[in-house]
Amino acid sequence: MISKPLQIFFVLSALLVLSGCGINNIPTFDEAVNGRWSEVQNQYKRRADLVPNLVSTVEGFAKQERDVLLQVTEARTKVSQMNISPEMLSDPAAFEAFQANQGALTSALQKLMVVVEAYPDLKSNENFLALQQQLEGTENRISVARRDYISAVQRYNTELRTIPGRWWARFMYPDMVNKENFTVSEADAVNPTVNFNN
Amino acid sequence: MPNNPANETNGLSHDKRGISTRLLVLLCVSAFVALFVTSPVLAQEIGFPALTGRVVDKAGLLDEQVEATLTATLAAHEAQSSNQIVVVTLSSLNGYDIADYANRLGRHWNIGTSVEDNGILLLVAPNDRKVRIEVGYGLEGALTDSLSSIIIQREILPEFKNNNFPKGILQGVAAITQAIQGEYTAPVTTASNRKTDPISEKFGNYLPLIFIAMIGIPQLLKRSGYRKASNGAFPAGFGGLVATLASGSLLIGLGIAIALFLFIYFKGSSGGGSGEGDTRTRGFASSGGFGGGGGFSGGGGSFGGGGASGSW
Repeated sequence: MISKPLQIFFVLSALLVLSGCGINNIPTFDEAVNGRWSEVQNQYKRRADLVPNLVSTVEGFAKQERDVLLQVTEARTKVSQMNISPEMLSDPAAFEAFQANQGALTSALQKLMVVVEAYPDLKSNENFLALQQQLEGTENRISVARRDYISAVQRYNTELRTIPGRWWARFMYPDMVNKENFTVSEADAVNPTVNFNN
Repeated sequence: MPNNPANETNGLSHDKRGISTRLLVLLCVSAFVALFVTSPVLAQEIGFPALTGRVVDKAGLLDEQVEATLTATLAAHEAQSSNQIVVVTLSSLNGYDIADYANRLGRHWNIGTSVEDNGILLLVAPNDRKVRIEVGYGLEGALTDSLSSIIIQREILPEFKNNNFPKGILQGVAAITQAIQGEYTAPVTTASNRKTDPISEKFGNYLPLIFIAMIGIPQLLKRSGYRKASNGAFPAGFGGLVATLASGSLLIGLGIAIALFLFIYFKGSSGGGSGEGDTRTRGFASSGGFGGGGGFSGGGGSFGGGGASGSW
């Protein structure tokens, strides 16, 4: 026969069950990740949509910066040609490619913004100022969307890998797998170097 | 494992359904215990100031009179439109980018209502020579990034450059309220649209499970010979359920359930310890009140990075 304290412990732990035990956590967190991911894509799309306008505006004032403009256009083409699906979140290679392509566009745009510093006419052009404003706003929103995505994935992956969630995953959601996360922040990924000597 | 013997004595004479039910209960128990042990990791904060009012002047840029004027303006604006605007001055951004900091701070304070996300933060960091208007999701249409930028460039920065911070802030706030006026008006019903408590909402998901547990556990206990314990389990579970629904807090409900169980268990066995159970119940109940200290607080709004920054 079990001793009394042990009995009490058993009954107490049974009582604790009353508060539920996270059976719905995994699908809930999964949907949260999907939602955050849509927002990330949405904001990246918004940025890609800004690029053609920006390029044509800069071209009007600074034709000779062909290299940078070409780089931006190419990066933009790559970004918009990407095949995006929710499945890619659990595919490291596809996710890596997404991150690399968006990072390339980020760094090309940053270079462009450094280059235009040399063109006072362009810098005071109203159209350009508005575009610059929108680009800045979009980059802000991208960083917020990325941050939200990162924490959603963190929560989801933690739930899958730590004890109660791990058991639920085994027992009820065997097809749920870890999702990929952004490895570096957009700001750390690219460090535009400005060389004033050439 | 303390619950093994119970399963063994029970497991011999039952069919498959019984076994899988018990497996589920067992899993549930272990899951909860594990949940209890690995307490949730809270997001670390970056030392945000407390939301002491509509004007949080940590950098000491505003005198009392200006602060009072601002507070009155902002309160009137909220009463009229339900938009929450908060002015913050900080002596340091702790090394964060101002856009990042403003977004986190706005979310941390939950400025704006949770339905409309209509909060605005005017953040001034004089030592970093930076200013930002951070706009909640719901007002991004009315106060666009470019409009925010125009307000900063035209109304705020010229005054800041002359070190006239109060005037810059006053002009900025006036421009912000004008910009968003008309875009959104408060819904007519103010008292009836209280949102449901998220805890009770979540709790609703578990109701069926709870009823199963309340009936199943006493049965399980009775069959395994803990008759005395089984008498207490149902009333305790029921009491806890009612307490949770009434108070909206799971912890209070749990506490009451445990207290009730102990009360019934020990009263049944010896009659002693009832006083202890009683005070415990009372203790948990009294701690359940919602700290309703008046004053200003965020309404649950969120931010998505809208707005503009400027520096001087």
